[in-house]
Amino acid sequence: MIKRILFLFFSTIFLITLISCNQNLQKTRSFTLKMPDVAPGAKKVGSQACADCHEELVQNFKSNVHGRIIPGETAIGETGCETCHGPGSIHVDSEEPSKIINPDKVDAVAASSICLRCHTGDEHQNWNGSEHALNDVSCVKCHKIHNNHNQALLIKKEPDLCYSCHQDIKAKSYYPTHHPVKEGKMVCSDCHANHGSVLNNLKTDERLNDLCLKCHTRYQGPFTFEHSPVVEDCTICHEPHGTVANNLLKQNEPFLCLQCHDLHFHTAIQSPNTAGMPYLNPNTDTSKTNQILEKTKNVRTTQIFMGTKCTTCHSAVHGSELPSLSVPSHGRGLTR
Amino acid sequence: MQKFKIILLMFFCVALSMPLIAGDKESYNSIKFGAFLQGDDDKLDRVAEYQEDKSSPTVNFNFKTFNNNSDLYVNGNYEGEYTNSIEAKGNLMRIISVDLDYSSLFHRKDYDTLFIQYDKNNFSPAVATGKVPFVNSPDGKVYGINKFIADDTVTSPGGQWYGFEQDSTAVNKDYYIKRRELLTKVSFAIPGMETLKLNFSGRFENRNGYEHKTVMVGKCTVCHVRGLRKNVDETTRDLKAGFSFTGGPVYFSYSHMYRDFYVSNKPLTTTFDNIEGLRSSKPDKYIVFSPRLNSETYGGTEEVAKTPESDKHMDTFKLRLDLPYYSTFAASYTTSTITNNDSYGGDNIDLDQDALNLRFTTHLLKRKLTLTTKFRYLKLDRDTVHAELEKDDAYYFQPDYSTPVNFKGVNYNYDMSKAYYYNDINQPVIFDIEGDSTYDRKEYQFGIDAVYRMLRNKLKFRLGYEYENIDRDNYEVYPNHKKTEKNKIKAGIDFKPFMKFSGRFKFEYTNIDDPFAKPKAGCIAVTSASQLKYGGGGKAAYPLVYDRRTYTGSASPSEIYSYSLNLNWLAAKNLSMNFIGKYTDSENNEGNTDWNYDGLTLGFDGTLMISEKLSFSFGYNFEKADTESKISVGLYAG
Repeated sequence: MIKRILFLFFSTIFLITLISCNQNLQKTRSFTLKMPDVAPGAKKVGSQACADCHEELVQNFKSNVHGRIIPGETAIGETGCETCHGPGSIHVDSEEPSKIINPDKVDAVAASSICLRCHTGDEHQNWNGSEHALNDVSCVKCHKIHNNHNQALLIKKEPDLCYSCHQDIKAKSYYPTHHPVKEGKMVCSDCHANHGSVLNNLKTDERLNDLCLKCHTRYQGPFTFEHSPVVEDCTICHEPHGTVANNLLKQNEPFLCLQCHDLHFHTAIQSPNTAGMPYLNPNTDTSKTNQILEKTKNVRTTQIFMGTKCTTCHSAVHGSELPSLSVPSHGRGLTR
Repeated sequence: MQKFKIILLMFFCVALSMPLIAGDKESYNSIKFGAFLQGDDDKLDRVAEYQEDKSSPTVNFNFKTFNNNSDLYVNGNYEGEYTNSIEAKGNLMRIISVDLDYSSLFHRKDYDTLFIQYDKNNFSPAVATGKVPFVNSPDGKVYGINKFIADDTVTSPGGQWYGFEQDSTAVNKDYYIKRRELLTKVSFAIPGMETLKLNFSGRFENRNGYEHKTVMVGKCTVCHVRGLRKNVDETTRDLKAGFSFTGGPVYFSYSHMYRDFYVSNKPLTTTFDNIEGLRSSKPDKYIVFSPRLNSETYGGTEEVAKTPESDKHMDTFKLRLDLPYYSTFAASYTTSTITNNDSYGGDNIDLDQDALNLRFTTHLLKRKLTLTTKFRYLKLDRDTVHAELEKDDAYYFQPDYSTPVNFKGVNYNYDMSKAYYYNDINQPVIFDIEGDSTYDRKEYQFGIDAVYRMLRNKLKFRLGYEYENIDRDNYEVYPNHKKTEKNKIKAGIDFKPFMKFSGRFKFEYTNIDDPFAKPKAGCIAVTSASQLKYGGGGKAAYPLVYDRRTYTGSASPSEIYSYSLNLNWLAAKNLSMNFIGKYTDSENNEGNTDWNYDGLTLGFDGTLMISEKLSFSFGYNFEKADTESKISVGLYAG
């Protein structure tokens, strides 16, 4: 708790310092974050000059959030067409398209840097250095600013937008077990930080497991009786994009479990019919009870019981607060 | 649910009034009707996991209105009683921004019944003898145990020597979860300093329904498993408050999140096997098992499938500094504590986590060269837990294998040929448990990436390297090895030889020293069978077998080779085609199981635009994955 209070205290002090320096900081931003220079010497002419030729674009721009923001909201203290397209005087005079910034025509780094002049924080904090940025997937590859009524100005809705490049993930999302993405109940950006993050483009500042635990909080624990791979990394056993096996498991039980655990001894032997685990041979035993076994002839009873699904008995596989019955396993059998 | 409705109503009252107050406004509205039908030759939970019914009408509506500085957007979906959503976003005078999103989801839970179903007409259960466990269910069918016939008599409520779906309540029932989630986000911009924002958000998620649980009710799992129908009513509540500020080239934010996870369903209980039954009918087994069992459950009705309540506090600090040459320095620090308030030992269990992330990116040579480097430090620390298992003196005695056990006036000798023994002869059974966690660790990561655009938009090279070190305090991934080291190199090329054709090829190689594994997972190293026997015993004994396990099992790779190829072709003005090929070869040559994984994905898709409002999309994907691993099967009889 003391750490938390100190944390809040120093954050507040830092914030106050920043606010007191704000006026000086504001001046440095547009100097630091320069626009691509496509028309050296151009000056600002105002949005009305743009409307003279691009009447429809400017008219429709009112429906766009960029057309409603106020100067104080942006990190550079400006709004209007030239905030993104740069000074337009030479373009207006010459009517030359190359003399105005078109994010579609400049290189990916420059195109994104236009947006980053304002979209600097929150989820955009780690854009530079992100996978999309390094692969030159600039902002305008996914967002269409003009004449677009989609949410977040996306070119297409999720997940179709993401699937247009990530086809392999699309294929997995159609497997028998999947998160409800194709049903429209989840989108890629529920888990993925498309604008970059500190951890593999996932929406978490902590560990991968913490992302999963946001929705699967019942496995948050921390448990008294824990299962080590669950603690280590959810993706040791699960493939979150989709699997053939149930519960997004990478493989069916028991094969998944057997990669780290040995098979219980009973599964390796035919159950004796005299001791411990009775086994009735339907070919020799004519008692009434064989009427059931007729349907399961030659079944090796214990082998089938213990060799099919490990979680039938070890049902608390994500961790438990109740000890198992057998003391020599120190209660860690994860059976309750 | 009532809370949700009230919050929704309040929001709409406020939000809808915004544009009305503001006056002059424009609106865009749409409404769509539809329906869906689902065929089901199989069970619905197999073919329609997230559908609540086989058919339903659907409705979708959009409403968007705005004026100069206020706006409201509402989107709603109806797909059934429990499958619907509504999202509303509004902004008033560019000062207050409200975002509200409610959605509900019906999730069918597939499960494996413990029994197969028999037709009553062709089946004569031996009810009178009590030897055939079965359940007469309301649907008139008989659910008998499918793989095992008991030789013992049912004597207690829990029964002995059989498992069953408890009281038939678990048989042939629907298992499902109704998930409801409400997200709210409110942001206040300070007038006059709009880049300073106060942010508040909340998330309420409730999961309500039934799930199938199986539980061991006796020592000998095979026959003592019971299926139960568990009611689930769990809620997660996330509350977050903080501020963000952008001042020139500096961005700074702080937030505190509190998560509360609580359980409202009644605890699930079941009756456990009575040790008395074993004691009277099989005293030779009783004297072996009795001192080794947690007596908490003997013949009693106890809780099972418990979900512990927990909470989490998390503080996040973020800083970004923009520098010349399109350079950025980003830092974040997160500290959190998760507390289990419902532990077996009674004390709260805390997990502390600290994460520091740093990243610097710059663009040089007129943006032809991008360099980025990152560093990450993570520390995890969980409390050491203490739990004391229950020891009932009436049933407990310290094993002494040389002395007969007197039970009801009869002396029973330990029959070494049966070899049921779990513990070493000379070791006492441990009931007090002290446990450190796999969580406890420090992690370091370092990475550097370089992108060189040789011919802008036509030829690009990429190189990268990442290093990761996981230093565990307690858990040994291999005998005497607690540290995992990962080295990864990445190389790629983007090419565009023609205007209408482009592609990308990527290669990644990862080497992991001591990847996550389970040591002493199986296999026995002995030179003679007698090493596994006590005294003159005829069969292998558990404790000796366990002590001699030698192999390490793992499902994690120590080497990964990954190749991917993407090709894009604009075949005609209105036809685009994409091709993808991906191959991954992973293996673990550090464990003893020769673990290997091969994955291949091939696919293509295309879009044909007939007109601006009519287009066809098509695609085909092929995926193949093979995992190969040796497994260990203990060839010894208990």
